[in-house]
Amino acid sequence: MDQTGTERRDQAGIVIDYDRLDVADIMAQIKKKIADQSAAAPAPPDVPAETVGPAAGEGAPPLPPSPAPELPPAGLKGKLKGIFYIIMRPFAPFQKLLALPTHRELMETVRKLHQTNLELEKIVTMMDGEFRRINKHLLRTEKRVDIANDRIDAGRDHADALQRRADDMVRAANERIEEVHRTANDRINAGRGHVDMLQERTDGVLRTTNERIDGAYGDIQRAMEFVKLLHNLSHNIVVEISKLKIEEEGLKLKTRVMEKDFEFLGRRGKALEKEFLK
Amino acid sequence: MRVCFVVQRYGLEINGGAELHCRWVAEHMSKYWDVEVLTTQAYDYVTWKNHYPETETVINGVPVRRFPVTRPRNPEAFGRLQDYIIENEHREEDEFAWLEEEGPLSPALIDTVKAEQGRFDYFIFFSYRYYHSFHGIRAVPGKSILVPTAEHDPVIHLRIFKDLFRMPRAFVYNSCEERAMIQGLSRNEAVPGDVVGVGTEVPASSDGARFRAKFGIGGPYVIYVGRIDENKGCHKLFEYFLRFKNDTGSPAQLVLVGSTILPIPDHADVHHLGFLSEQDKFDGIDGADVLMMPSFYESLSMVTLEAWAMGKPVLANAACEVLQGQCRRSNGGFYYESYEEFREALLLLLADPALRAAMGRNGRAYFSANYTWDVIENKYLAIVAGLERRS
Repeated sequence: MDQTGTERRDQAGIVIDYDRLDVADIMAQIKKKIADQSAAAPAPPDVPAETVGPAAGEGAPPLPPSPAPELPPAGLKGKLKGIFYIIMRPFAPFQKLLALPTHRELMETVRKLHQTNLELEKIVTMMDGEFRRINKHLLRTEKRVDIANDRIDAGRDHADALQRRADDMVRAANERIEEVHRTANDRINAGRGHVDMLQERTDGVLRTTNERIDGAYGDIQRAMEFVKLLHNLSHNIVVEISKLKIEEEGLKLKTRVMEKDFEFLGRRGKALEKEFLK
Repeated sequence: MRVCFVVQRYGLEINGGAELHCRWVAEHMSKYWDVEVLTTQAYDYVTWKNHYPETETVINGVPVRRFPVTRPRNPEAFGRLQDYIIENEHREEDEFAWLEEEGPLSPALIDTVKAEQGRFDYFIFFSYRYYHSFHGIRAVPGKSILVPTAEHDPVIHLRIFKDLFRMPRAFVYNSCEERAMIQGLSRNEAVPGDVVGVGTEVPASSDGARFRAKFGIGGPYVIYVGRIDENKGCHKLFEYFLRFKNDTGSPAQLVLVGSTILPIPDHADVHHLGFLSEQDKFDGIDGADVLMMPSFYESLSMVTLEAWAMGKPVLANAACEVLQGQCRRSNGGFYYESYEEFREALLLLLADPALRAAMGRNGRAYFSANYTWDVIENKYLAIVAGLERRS
């Protein structure tokens, strides 16, 4: 890895700016690298033309290239050879005859061919009966095939009729499905609009309700404070009444004592008066 | 101001998820507000069985009241019902039945919220999908703030939640992706809210060398911290990491921290250390080259934030929109959609210390700007102040 300034290219071919690192960009490069690798990897190696053919076995070295065509020799010798070739061209068939096998070999070949012909005739005679029998079978089979064909044709007509009916039914069903689909879509779209409207209304109601709940909550808080004050007031009143009751009891007691004192003083007055009048 | 936090579980033993999120926020906001927590007596989030005997306690200075769960959850019945409502046309009654099974079923908690609404100015509910949030918000809509902690989970599409998302006075979202998802589902743009998330604190000193010495780990390693579970994408992490080792011959090791419910691959370079102390965990992150986050569903990955706070890059699962969005916004992590992307991204990170350092710097800057406790506390205060102004 070689570092040059702030940017450098690492060994794997990813460009990285270390001062302004961009993870998304690096990931995009990684993805591209993987895509390139996978595009390059699966292609099989090309088979050389020379190895194609039955002689090219697995692991066999490729065949050597074909030899170049022989060029006529250049110079005087070549010219003379060309002239000689032109002169000798009319005699070429005779030259080929000279290359044929000898008469004895020819006769032997003719005899073998004759023998072969005789054997072939025997085989043909033998096969003739077989052929006739096969022909009879073929004729019978042909008739059966004709009957079967007639039946197949009839069946095909019937199948065609059924196919046409099925096509008609499928077409009608498709049209019906499309119609239902259209209607359903329309209704769904209408319903969606309605749902959105309801949604907005519900949100509005919810917001208003929340606000009202908050308001009511404030009112309740205030009422609770008021109730607390009333409670304190009641408590104080009860305390005062209790105190007054106690005071009243005290005063009653005092009155009773004073009444007794008064009676005693009355009795004493009367006694003193009696003593005084004696 | 008196604020009540309502959450499904609460306790020092509960580490992770919305419950820890709630505890941290409650403890931090107790500096500004008179805070109280209402919760259940449950500890086990699968069955919600009553676990805590005490009904009133104080945890880190925050008073907590616990209410009994009247019926524990039957996981099998719940699984069947959830599959049914997700995969079939169903009625609203089925969704309510599902909510009751989802639990934690604690009517006393809801009654208390109703009865004591006058005592509190606001109720902050955590996790939209549980019984306490659904019925609690309905009991005090005008005073409720919802921290939905929502993920791309099929149940979020239930009809009952569409209405619920329009009810609270305000929202506290964990991420932009979560807000977009909830607004897209319920069209609740009119309800005020902000993307806040949760703060985290990392120790002033952490020592990767100490971790290596303690657990006998040499050479480069990547780390996964959290519950080792299929839901967290750990099965894919194992598969990808072993293929990565096989394909590249990398000497990197995979260190797993957390309790497991999955079989751990029997490989010399895969180390499962179990549940560790906070200090060991932070030491482990400090010593790692990369934090792996293969989870498919996250509303906010705290461990990702912790890794960024410690200046470590992250390799996350792109299937989780929140993680992908955070990696893009922070420029502090890569994300993968396939094994090939996993391989290339991890190769790039392991081969290039300068790249890791640059991504770590970006992650730390992103964390400082968005997830320190000062930022989080001010956002909560601003949300409540906004509601007060509206009132």
